[in-house]
Amino acid sequence: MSNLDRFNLSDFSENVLLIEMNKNAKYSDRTAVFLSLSEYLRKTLDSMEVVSAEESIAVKYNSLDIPSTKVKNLILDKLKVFRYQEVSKEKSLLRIPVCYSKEFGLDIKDVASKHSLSNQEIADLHSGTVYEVKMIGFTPGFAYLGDLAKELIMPRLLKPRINLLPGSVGISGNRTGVYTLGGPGGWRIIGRTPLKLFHPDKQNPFGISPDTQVKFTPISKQEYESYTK
Amino acid sequence: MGIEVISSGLQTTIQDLGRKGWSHMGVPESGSADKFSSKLANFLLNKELNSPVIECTLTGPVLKFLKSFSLIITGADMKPKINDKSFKMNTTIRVKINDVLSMSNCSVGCRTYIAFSENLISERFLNSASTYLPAKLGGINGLPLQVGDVISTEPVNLDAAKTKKIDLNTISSFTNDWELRAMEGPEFKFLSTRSKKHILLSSYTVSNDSNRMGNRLDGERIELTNKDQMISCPMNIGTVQCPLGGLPIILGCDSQTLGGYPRILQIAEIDFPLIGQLRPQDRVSFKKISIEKARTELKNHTKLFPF
Repeated sequence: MSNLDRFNLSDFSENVLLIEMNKNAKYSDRTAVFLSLSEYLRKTLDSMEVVSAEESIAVKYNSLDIPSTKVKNLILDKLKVFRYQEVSKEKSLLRIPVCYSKEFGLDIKDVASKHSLSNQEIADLHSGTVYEVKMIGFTPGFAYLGDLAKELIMPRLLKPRINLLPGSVGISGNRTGVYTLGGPGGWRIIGRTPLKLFHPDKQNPFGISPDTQVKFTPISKQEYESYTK
Repeated sequence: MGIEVISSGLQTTIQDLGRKGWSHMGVPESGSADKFSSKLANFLLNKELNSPVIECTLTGPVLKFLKSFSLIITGADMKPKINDKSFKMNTTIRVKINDVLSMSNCSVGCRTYIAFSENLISERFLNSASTYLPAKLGGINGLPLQVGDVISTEPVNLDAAKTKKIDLNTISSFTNDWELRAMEGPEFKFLSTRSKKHILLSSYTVSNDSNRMGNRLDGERIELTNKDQMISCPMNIGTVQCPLGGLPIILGCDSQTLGGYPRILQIAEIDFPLIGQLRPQDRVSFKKISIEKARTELKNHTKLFPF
């Protein structure tokens, strides 16, 4: 099966193309394929914006500068030569300290009762996995990490919270993530990290990139407080 | 020293044309919600189109000038006055030290832009001055202008030789009953047969909890045939999302880059500036446009306006 059979290319709008994967394309980890393909496209396509989601990629271009048929052919050419390799890059491991207390973990009680787990067991399960970045989006630098242990899977809140505190650590479905900026959010909150993951003044403002692996480390309330001093 | 804020207005922020190229890191484009009016203001002043401007929302600010400037006001008409004397929109006016610009509220349209002959100095993030309120980035401390703020300004070379004249009469006027041109979105197929027809026939009301991130609409609920939870997908300015409740949301310039609700329509880029002019309680209907026609409209626009 060639890549041209694996992927579908369609118009999302007059200047956005959508790349989706054919249902019968066999990849063990489709999300990783999309992340890798989107990075490849971003590097090789000039003056186009490439946004990757878990199962699709949007390519934004200016239809006044370059005709859509030309963009399509360009992308088809890239797809022909794109080869996905399972381990394509050296990844860096980022350890994120998390205090899984009742005070910070606004929903830890609900998770505990739904799955008949103690808070300690939730912390052990959540911090026992090395997570991969599945996609980045929603708000600046927000990384969707996975996969979350099956024993912790919970649906989103029916009504999102309006104002989460920065550093809130949430779970939703088989994903987990850090609300670096705070703000509105519908994920279940199980703890908080004192670590800043967004640095607007730095050359690279984003603490987590697609090449980052994340491991959470449980810390006590005292350790949390000494961190923030 | 430059401009002192005497009264803040409802939500007054510093904006430019936004930060493109960062949506893969979750950073929205932002910038002026009505980029046409914001570019027009800078164009008429012979300034770089990307120069920061002041964006006013529904009710404008009162500003006192600590220097003399030229300024121009575009977008929704908030009945601007200098020292209690009215002046025309879209026309350059000279102001002196201690002059006071006061603006009231607009009744059609939602946002007004003030451009100055000097450059507004503000915080920058990823090469843009645009205020992005959810993350407190850009502008003055990432916030709307507050009483007592002083915006510093610096002189800038104005490019005197304007290459192209524009006809101000060709600027489309604002209304309280908008027709937005839209294409079918990737999940249009999720609509029931009835809703596929009705979405183009019925009109919606812009709800009060609308903002730069999105305009929520009230009206006939849209029926979705596929109610499975979707995997998050790329979003766009002008994407019309439809949550399970059936009331659509038109995404604005500060919208999230990914989202999990069906993308039922996509507003044509030619009408993006109008999204920034939707005011609560305005009526909105959608008119179908083909992808080809949407491209042609963009091309035709550049013949009238060199931006």
